[in-house]
Amino acid sequence: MTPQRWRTVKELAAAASELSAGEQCSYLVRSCGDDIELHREVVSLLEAAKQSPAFVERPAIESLAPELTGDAQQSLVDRQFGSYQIVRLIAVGGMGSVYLGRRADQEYQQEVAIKVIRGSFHDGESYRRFCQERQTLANLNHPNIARLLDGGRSEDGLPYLVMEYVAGQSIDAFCIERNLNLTGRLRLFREVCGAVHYAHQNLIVHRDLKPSNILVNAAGEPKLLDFGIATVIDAGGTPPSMFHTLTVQRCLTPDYASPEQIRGEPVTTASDVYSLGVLLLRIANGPPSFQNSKWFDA
Amino acid sequence: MTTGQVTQVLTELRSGNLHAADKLLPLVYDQLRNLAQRYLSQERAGHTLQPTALVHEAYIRMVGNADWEDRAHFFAVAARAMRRILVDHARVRSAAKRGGGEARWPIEAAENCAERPDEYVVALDEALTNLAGIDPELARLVELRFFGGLSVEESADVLKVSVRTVNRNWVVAKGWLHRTISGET
Repeated sequence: MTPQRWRTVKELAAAASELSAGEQCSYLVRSCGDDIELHREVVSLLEAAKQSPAFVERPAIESLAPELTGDAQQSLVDRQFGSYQIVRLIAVGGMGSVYLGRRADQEYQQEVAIKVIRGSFHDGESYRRFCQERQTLANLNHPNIARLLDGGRSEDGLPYLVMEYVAGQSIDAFCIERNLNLTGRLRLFREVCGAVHYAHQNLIVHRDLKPSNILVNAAGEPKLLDFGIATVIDAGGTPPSMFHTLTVQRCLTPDYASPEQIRGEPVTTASDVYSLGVLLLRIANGPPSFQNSKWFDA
Repeated sequence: MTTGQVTQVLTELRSGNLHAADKLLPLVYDQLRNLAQRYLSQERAGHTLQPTALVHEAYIRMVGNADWEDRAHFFAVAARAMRRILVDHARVRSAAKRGGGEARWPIEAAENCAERPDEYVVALDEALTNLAGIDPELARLVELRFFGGLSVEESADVLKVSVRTVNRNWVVAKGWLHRTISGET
């Protein structure tokens, strides 16, 4: 390609990049005229830009050396988040790390789970939305829902959420270990449904119901974790690239995700109901191996 | 090289002697590597490194406070140095993965990252060298933003173009690179 030709291609692609898909199409048809080769060249550039991986939007150091940019996992131990102090790392997940924490002021003993979310807020507005959603969740008060206690950003801008710490095992493991009969399993499931129903009445959707988010404590009480957390994080608008990946990853575990979630369409209370259905099958029947069976398509 | 000598090189750069950058690059490279090492070994409680912190800290240490013109030149050189450091890092890591070595980065392993940044970045580095032959301005932009970690505004300042131009060119650059990397034409 001659330098002159490249300048034309670049010019057109750059201008088209600012237009909506529809405008782009007519703009390029208009500008390229009979030059089909030019049109093809510009379109292929724009297409490739769309398919370029999300991490390219963030500084390379974040994806290549996460140990430098804030995911040094143990490094947060003893750090204070709001009134709580981190004791140890519990788990590392897609959206960040979960730590065991306790009250920093020793006023009373309380163990909490502190979720430190990867990334940072773009601006004041995204932080405000995050706080708003956090408030909605903090108002959820149900014995079978792990409470959201606090949340905000640390001194150096790390978004975090503090939740009730639940010591227990996932609902499916609990059913197997206690060798619960069907009645026992259904009783447990009914309690889970009660909690989801309560949240739905408060217009909060879980979006990620699955056994690992439903822990049963030693007393046999189920507790739903992470209720609406996905919504809070989305509201915070933390790095779009990261969270886009996160959402995709979540959907890539499709056993419990509803068809509309897998298709990336808006999620409603019906999505949770779908996940509950899969959960029921799982705890009443064993593993969700019916994904390809015929009645599933109905 | 003392702070005074670094400033001297920057002055040469400003007066148009582009070869002066060659003198600065190895020094900035070493400085950045040392800083990165220090951050890694220290395990400072809860310290989170901002992506641009390395470049900014290297600047403060090597130059001190100079005017923006010098900063722009310095950032361009530092972004180049960051590119070398990060691509070497990615190359070593993707080679280790191919050799079946143990994954050293548990977070990444846990996420089972489908996009494989290491391999992609090694390929991007090569493609970027080709892009520099065709359109140096686009290549510099990618170096500043992606490897240097500069924001859109900072990149615009260094390149002396508008924010809008940076945004438009960014789309073209990443399209060109992705097309080259994925082997389509």
